[in-house]
Amino acid sequence: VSEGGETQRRLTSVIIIGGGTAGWMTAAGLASMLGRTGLSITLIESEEIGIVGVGEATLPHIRFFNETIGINEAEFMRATSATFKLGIEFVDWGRKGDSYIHPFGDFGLAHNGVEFHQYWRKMADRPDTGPIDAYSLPIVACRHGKFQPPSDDPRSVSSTYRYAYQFDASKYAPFLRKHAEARGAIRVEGKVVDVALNKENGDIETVTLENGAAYSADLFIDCTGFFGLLIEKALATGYDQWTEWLPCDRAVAAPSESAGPLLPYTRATAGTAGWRWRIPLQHRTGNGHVYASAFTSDAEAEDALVQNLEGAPLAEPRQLRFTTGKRRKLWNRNCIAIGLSGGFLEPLESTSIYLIQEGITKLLELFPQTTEFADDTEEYNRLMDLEFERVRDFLILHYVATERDDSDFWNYVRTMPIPDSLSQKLALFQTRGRVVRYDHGLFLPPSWIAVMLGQRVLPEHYDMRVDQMNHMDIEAHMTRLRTLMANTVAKMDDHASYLAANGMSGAAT
Amino acid sequence: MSKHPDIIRVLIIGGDVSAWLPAAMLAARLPKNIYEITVCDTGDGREDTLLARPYICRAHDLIGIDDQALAHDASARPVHAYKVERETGEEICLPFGEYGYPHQGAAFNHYWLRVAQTGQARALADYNLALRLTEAGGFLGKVPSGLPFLDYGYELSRRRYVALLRRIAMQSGVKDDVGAIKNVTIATPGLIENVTLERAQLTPDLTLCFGGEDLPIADQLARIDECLNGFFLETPSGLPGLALHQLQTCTMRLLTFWPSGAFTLAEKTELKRLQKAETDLINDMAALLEYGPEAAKNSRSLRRKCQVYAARGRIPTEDYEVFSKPEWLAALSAGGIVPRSYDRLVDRQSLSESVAFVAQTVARIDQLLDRSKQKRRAV
Repeated sequence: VSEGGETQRRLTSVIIIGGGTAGWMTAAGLASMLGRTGLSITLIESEEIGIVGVGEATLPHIRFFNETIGINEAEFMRATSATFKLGIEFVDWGRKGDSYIHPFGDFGLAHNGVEFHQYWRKMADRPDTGPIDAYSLPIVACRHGKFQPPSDDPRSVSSTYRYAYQFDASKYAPFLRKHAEARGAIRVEGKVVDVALNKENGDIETVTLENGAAYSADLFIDCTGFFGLLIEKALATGYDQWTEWLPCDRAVAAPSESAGPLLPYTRATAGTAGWRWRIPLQHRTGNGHVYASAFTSDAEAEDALVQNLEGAPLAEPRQLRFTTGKRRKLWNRNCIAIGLSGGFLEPLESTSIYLIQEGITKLLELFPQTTEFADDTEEYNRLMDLEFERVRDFLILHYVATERDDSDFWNYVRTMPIPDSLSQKLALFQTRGRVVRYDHGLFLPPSWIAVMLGQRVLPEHYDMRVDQMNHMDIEAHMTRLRTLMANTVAKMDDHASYLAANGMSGAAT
Repeated sequence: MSKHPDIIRVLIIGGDVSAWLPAAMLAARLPKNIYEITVCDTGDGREDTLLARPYICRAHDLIGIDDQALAHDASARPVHAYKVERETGEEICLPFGEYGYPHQGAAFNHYWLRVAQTGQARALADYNLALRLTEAGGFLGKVPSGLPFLDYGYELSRRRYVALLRRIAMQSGVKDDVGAIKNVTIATPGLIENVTLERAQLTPDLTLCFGGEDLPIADQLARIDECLNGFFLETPSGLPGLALHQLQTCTMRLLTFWPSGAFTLAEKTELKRLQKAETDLINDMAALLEYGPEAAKNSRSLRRKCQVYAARGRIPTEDYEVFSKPEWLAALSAGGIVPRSYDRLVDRQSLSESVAFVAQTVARIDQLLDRSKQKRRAV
């Protein structure tokens, strides 16, 4: 095809650099969806280079990705030593001693077009009402260590939640590799030592490996992690830093032996200069401490992690450094950055793998037929920018909606200027519990409600429409709901028992 | 938590449907023991026909109007598509139903495009059941899942529809015996103090104005809108059904953000942000229909739609889309934009499979069209 003097030709080849979670998710996604369209998919990785292995904890969207590319759930659970996840527990965030769960599901049932939390707000001061947690099935299940897949029947209270996984990221990439290779993706072992750009248009032309072999493609996907070999080192795309709002810039991670019952949720405990994660897997527990180096030392951070391990450590703590933010263009010229090469947002809400998945999904939706793809690029960047910015605001909320004043870190984040978009969201919720809605973006109203209420942002008023129902009727409705939640959870399986009974327990390796 | 006042007075100023649709919706949802709603109808009792988009059923559910009542009391006629006339006199038909059906993750128009490039497809409009039914004067209601998605709106007698809404609103306690509007007093900056009407002097807690230049207080609307206890929705669109649609969505949003007295600044800001987003999208469609892709130079979102569609037949969506993808597809096609390529996912099947899929789709639509004709004959 020739248009405007430029020659377009059919896009036939993609090279992915980097074989961690992002690389193999991309390879598996492309091979499954476009492998039969004459597209060659090559992944170049080096065994010498370790992987960061982001996102042991995920969001429910991962299930759609796995299903779309044809992964069997039980096989996946066994291969990655995965557990189920119904939400994230936040400890010590609003105040020291506080605990709330951000569930993957709704609170109560809306009535007369008014969301449940508005009824709860009206009744919140009454002794019988209790915390809003009692009206969320996934939260009640989490608190009792229970799990059961949601019901498909929309009339059932068991249809009001979703679930995700907690898995060993170091096992997910090899699992996906088998899947991708079976669908035609080709793996090349080698370390990229040179990236050559086209002198006329600036596109990436070839990558050369240590052994001298050169590889060229129409499209390159940078999954090289923080290093950004193609997107930054070769193309100098630039990076927008968000450290003024999200000051944590380091993490230290260490696995430990499992301790206590297998919980169907991830825990994020706020510390004096950051927070610690705890992710229960079948064979071990993943632990880490995300912190701001301006407010604590590496040694103090490591000590805080080790002192709080619930089981015996299984490896030496590993340090990571990062800069929160995103690449100015996630798709620049003929290169797309997916995963940490595209940006980093701390894993407070388990968004790392979600952002990889969104990068792949949007690439598939906009995958070019020809080598002329400027319009696709612009649209891809717009959609991904929206994703990153809306996740960013949600993460900042956790820091700014706090009463903690026990350290310089908390005094900074509690009082820091925040993006206007978040100020507006906070102001709206504070007055009457309203949640700003968008059609694009990850976090839906129940997520905002969970974190706002969990961190003591209590609306001053409730929705006036609540008054259409009298006190006694609301009280009776809420009592019925609490009983329904409790009875439904009582019939659920214990989390570990469910895994074992359904052939999902893997060998501890 | 602060207590709300005993009685909250709401004044609605608007002409005909602009007054009575919001009044009926608010009266249906707001507790009657707390709210007192008064309507100042500035309408002139126009006799024309009004288009209601399929989304109107949400408002009708709320206020308790079913299809039968609508047909009986408002001379409603269901429609699967509507026509927009350009200044040149040319007509463009926009459907309330999809083109073909999606297949293996790609929208039908991508399969059509691939097949059309080989000269083996009919015109794209032939694959839209809503357009075909409209052309043939047929109606099928809603079709079961597995068939191309089909929806319908209504053509209504404005006068009779207004009378129906008024009757329902009055039954819910709305009052309208205040006469014509004379003046709105904004003594304290940002706060409406009182409203002078022909037969009453009111001190409303909230004053809502719906409409535009035809409102007798047109010169005061901007100032009313600046007040935290005032709200003005302008519904200027010349596109059929859009003024009514904006009235409905605005009232639904007002209900969601309903204050106990005046709005807070955050609430007002959010309401205005949503209203602007909706108006921008309506303006995009109006400009595209009137001027074609040329209009895209004045709007970033419309430019994006035209560019991405031209590149690969995909229609990007914004937050708070008003129009369905089939409506955009009809408008972009009418603007003469032919995509350069189709979705790559289509290539997962062979060309002959795509040809067969497209042929089966049109055969199914022909069959449904015949069924509609037979039904009409039987009636």
